[in-house]
Amino acid sequence: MLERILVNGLVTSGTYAVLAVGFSLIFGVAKIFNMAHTALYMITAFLIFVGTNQLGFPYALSAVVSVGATIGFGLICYALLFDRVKVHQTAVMIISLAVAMLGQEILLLTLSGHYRGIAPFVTGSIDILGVAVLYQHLFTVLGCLATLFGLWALLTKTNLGKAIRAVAQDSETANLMGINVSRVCLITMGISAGLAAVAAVVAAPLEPLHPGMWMLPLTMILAAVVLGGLGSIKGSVFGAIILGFAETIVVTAVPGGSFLRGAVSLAAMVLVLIARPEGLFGVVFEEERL
Amino acid sequence: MRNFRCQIKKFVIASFVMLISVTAGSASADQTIKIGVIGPMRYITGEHIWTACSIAAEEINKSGGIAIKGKRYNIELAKADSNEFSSLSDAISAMERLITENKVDFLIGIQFSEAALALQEVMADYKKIWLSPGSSHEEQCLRVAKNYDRYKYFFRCGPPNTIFAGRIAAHELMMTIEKVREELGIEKPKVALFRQTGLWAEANMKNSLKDVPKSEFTTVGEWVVSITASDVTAEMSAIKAARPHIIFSMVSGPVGITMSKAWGELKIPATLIGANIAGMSSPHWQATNGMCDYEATMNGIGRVEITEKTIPFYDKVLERTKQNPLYATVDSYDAVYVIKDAVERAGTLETDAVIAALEKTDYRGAMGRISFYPKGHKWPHDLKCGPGYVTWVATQWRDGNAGRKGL
Repeated sequence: MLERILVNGLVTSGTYAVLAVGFSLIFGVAKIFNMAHTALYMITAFLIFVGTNQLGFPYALSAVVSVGATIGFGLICYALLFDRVKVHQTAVMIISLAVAMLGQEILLLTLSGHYRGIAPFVTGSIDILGVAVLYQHLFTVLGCLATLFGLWALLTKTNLGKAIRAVAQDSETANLMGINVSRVCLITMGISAGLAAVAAVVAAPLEPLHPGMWMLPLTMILAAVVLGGLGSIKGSVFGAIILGFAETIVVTAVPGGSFLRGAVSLAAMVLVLIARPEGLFGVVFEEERL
Repeated sequence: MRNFRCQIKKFVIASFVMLISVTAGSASADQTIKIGVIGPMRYITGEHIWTACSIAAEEINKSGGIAIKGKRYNIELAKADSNEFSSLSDAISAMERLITENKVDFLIGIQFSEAALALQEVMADYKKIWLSPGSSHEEQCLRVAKNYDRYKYFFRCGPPNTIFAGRIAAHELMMTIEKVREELGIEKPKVALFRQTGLWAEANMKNSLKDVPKSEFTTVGEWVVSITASDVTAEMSAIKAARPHIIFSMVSGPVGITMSKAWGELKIPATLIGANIAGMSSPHWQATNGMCDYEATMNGIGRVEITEKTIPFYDKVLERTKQNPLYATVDSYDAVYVIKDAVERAGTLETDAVIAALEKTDYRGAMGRISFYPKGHKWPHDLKCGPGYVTWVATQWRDGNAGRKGL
């Protein structure tokens, strides 16, 4: 049983982590509470579907084009909508929610509400520690780990990363130091949208595609982000791991109650927040951010 | 001045001609029976309910329409999107719009039992006859039994209610147990139970297991998942570890896709049967990337001669939509004909007379022999199910086709 929890827990946590990190990043830098984050995930998934199933492109090409298109869409949303109202966080939340719902309705109108699927990048399964693991799941875990590592390298080893962290810590001082804050925020939005798109590339083949598919992961990543501490990337990863494993433990240990997986992991979040209201890695001082 | 008079004359003549045309138009509208078609129109079930009603209306109109005391009436359909998956109040508004604005004479449609229960109140308030082709909860007809005068307008034209559906699934399970016993020599096959949350699945699973003797099989466990679970690989790998011979499922939502997908991807050496509503429709193959191959599910229609009308109807839907019909498709198609049959027998459009005629329905449709339980029965106005009436079929996915060959 432990082996199964370990393997399946990693898969669930990995996807949540990539999504949560993207959400946390743009919040940490530009204070944008982007409720359309998982809608970007959904848009990428549908673009890949159109590319592979309707236009007949190979998966890799469809994935690259879809990620590019999603980043472009994210940047347009930022420039035309979020940037103009970003000082009013509630307005940003509502506008981003409207963007997500608009995306859902457009998909319903153009592609209808049929359930669809993307063929897995790799098919078949392998036995690890006596547990049958899909190759696609392995691909998802490795893809998520590579993405998180890439993001860490970007934030810690490059000038752009330093600029992003500087803006996240104190945007006014960063501005005085000659950093173009608006540009950094725009780039961060692009990275955040890219992370949602990459999550779709590695994880969307695992689930049915439908225009409402953005809602459930949104709840889970919000929980992961709040659990880890708003704006903390490290916290988001840990939040995602805790929620992913809590879900898997419920499914494996209580098969008759596996529908409670979401509720139990959210209850775990509540318990942590009671003990530590700012979240596991919550930002008490601004310089701790990121 | 003369020119002005001439223009006035022309205006008067033109107005007169227009008035005559409008009057003539309303005269021909008197020869129309309006049926309101309501369903989740942006989803497959709604699309199919509409397609089925359109096919039936075209066929009836082509063959001379509905005859009432020597007069011929054409069927005119009005469409309304219930949006019932997102909002019950949208469904209520849609039905009210059909009744008050489109002024329909009859109603056909709805998939979700929850929506059907809410809409029964609208139907009762407006006293409008409604044939439901999609929802299965027995409460709808229990209401007719409890308060006949208020709810007598409701008739279930399919699917079988949850009690009957349970029995149908039990037959499917028993058939599979016998096959495993016969071909693999396993006396007491092991069965994994997999269902989603919710009244429908819980009741169906319970009713099915009640009808199969416990001595026939061993249960290795029951897995209950959320209707919207986006990945059930963890559950399915646990099932694989339990080594069952049969996986008996009861799912109606998108979880049916994830279940079939995980079953195929993990190559679980157990036959997947039961009721998978998503698995009844053509897009299931694409949605699961073909992983549903050999999955079997109970179904309202397959390309088999349930009656002489089944295969022609099946082929017509296939030709028009490039998809095989669903249970709600054949139920809706037959519902239009049931209305025609009842109205012609009643000889009037008067509501109580048509209800009385509907109660005496004995119509051979594409899904089987259609008849409703009478007033005084436990489930008045529910579809009669069982040998000689509607029994449903089981269909299996093979090489991209579902139900082209029924089991």
